[in-house]
Amino acid sequence: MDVEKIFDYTLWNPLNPIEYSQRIPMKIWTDLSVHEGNKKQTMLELSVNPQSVAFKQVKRITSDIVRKGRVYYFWSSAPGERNLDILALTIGGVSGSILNRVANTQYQQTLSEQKISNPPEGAINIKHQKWMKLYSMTREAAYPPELNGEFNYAYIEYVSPIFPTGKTITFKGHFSNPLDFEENADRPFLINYTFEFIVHQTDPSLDTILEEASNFLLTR
Amino acid sequence: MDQFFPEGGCVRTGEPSYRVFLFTKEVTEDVKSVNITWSTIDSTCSIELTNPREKWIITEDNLNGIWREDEKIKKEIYKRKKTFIVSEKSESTISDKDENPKASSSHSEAGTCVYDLYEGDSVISCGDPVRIYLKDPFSDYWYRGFTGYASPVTDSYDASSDYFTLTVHCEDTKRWIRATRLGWGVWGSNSSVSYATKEEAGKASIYSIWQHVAPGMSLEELVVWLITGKVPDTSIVGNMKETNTDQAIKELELRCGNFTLGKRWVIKNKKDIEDAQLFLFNECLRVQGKGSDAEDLITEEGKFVTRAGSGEYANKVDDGNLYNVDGQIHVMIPEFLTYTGKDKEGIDLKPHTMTEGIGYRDEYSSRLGIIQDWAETVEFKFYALPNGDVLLEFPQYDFRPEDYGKANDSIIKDGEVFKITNKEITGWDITEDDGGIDTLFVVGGSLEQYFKRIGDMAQLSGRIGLAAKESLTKRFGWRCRNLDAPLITSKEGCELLAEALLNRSFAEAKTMNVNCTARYEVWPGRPYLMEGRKVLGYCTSVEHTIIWGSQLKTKINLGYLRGWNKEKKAWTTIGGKLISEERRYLDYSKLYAS
Repeated sequence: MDVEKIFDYTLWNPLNPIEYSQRIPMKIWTDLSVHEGNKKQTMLELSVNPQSVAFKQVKRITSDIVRKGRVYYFWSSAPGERNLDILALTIGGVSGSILNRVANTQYQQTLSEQKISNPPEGAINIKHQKWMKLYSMTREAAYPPELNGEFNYAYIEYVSPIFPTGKTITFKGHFSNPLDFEENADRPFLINYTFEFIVHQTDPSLDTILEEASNFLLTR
Repeated sequence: MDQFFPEGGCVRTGEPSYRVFLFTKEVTEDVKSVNITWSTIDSTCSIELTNPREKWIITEDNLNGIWREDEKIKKEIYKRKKTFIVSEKSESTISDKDENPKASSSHSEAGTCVYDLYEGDSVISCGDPVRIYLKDPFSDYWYRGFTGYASPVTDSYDASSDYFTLTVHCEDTKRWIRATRLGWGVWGSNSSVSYATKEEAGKASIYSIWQHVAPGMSLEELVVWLITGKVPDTSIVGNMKETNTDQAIKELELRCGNFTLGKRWVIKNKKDIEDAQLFLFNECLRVQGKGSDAEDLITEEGKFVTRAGSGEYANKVDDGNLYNVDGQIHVMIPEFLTYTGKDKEGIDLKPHTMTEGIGYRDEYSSRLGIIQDWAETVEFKFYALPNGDVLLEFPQYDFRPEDYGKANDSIIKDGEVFKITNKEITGWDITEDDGGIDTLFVVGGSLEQYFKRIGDMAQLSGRIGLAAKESLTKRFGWRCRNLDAPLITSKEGCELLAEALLNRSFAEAKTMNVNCTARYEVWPGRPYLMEGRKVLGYCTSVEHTIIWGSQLKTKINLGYLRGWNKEKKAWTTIGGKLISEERRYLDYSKLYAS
């Protein structure tokens, strides 16, 4: 199933992170990963992972205790505007199996037992590779020389039945940390990982998405 | 918006904001914090700018004409600064007038840029004009927070956080007066010895500012002259012009910035002080209009080097006249000091006479220092206003909020201006320190003038005034202080001054610092009533601290605290008797009448 179909499928079905085919579909890339000079141009299609996306956005509010009560200050970017702070996404999931078996062999052989420099044809380590690329992306420089001093934005293309607009949402921002991950003996060939993504810009804007989604729901 | 609860509590909500202009460019988005201190002496502020990727620092790329997208404002400031070139015209003007070859520059600077900006330098330099505007969180009004000039500028780096910061400290518009010095010493009739030693000067006809210019000037005239270079017609300068003293005249008529005469209030009654305060509040502190109207005005005003009053903007930076100050000098004095003529009551404050014997003989002094020395002698206040104007005013230690009439109760909606209420106070400290209290004050009047008038040394004691309080000596012991007051020629005047100073030393023992929510209309040199403690204090300074998204507070420093008596009236301190209902500010007419 290609990514677009998964997107469509997910769009019209309830969110069910347990079901393999209904996990949250995403595409992730960075300016550097798709840069023309980059021989390993990468746009990750995390069609089955991650398992959770948490939205967190606080309001800029401070308070003082005065003798007669309380004072709350709402720090707007300009008078009359909203006092929303930056939107942060916390994304977590489990990698696909890294028990990278070679296809069409009569005996099991893990990748670690193979010669790395000469992997056999038909290796099915694509899930492991994707995880590695994601890890690599989160470690990229903010201002890599390949981009001539421009900021290396990261992008997450996302679709969810939460916002039934029929469109994908693209978050533009940066990773606030490299992947946090854990290897657990209970699940030796799966990697639990999380990362936080700071959103600089949303396309279309969340206001537009909310308006379109509301209109859509009204017509159903 | 205030929300009161039946239990008596109150929840207020507010929306703070500020706008900051450096070198006429708005840099608000990069401002992390602003701290402004406004006092009746000097006003300062500091602005902390985030400096990611050293966006305010000149880089090699910048020098090669390469600018990042986030360096737009830096580029504009840099390019504007590079257009400030020393012209041949200004070079020749200096040469033509300078008759002293020793003072001439050995090489021409014509064609060179006024600014030295190299790789690693901050694009914000000392002397760059600064304007700050503050929005009242609880209304749609905007206030002028500060107008002045950057100095010094600190470029910081912290390795532990890998964080770059540019901190711009600022001076108020008195900077020009502070930096410009004046030679009190001698001049010769030949200008070539204008800056010479006494010996050299002795070869020529001698004039000095002390002997030939300052006498005859009132305090007001002196302040105007030291700032604008405008010497009163009564001065000897007219006669000096007939001699060949060009250099001396040039020094006398030197302007500091581009100040012009503003409002002059002669205070006769409460109505006058109300009018004066309303003007100062509406023209110098609060921006006209509300909300977006006020913001539009700020957008325009911020483009100029300093304030321009009444909508007539001058000295636009594009005119190339970057350093001119378009401020005004306002003066507020009591009527009885405006004199003069023998047929009227009242006196002139003539600083030269009052400070005779103190100094200013053969030295160079800061013009601001001279003004402040002399203003201090008669307790006058000389300070900069948030719009860049300067104000010379008489002390209002003993005033009460109600003395200001409408200026106290109608210019803001939610309460009295000169009152800090419990819904604003976040904390206070009241300190009583008897270290500076005197219990015996001895004032010596003018010996010289006494001899002229009396001519009898035997009656010398007639010039001594003495004040002591038994109640104070019983508590604090004998603490004697002497003061020479050369102008005062009567025993009565000396006694009055001694008593006033004694009262003041006692009044200064108690101070109060009040922390409260944002109060941008608090004015130093005015009385403030503290609801929480039933005291009235004189605001010596006010400090606003804003750390964006994190902290907002106003700190009001009060002196001369007065508690309530049983009639709920504050005691008087400076002018009247220590324990008295009678209110009056320092009465110069009695003090200096001779």
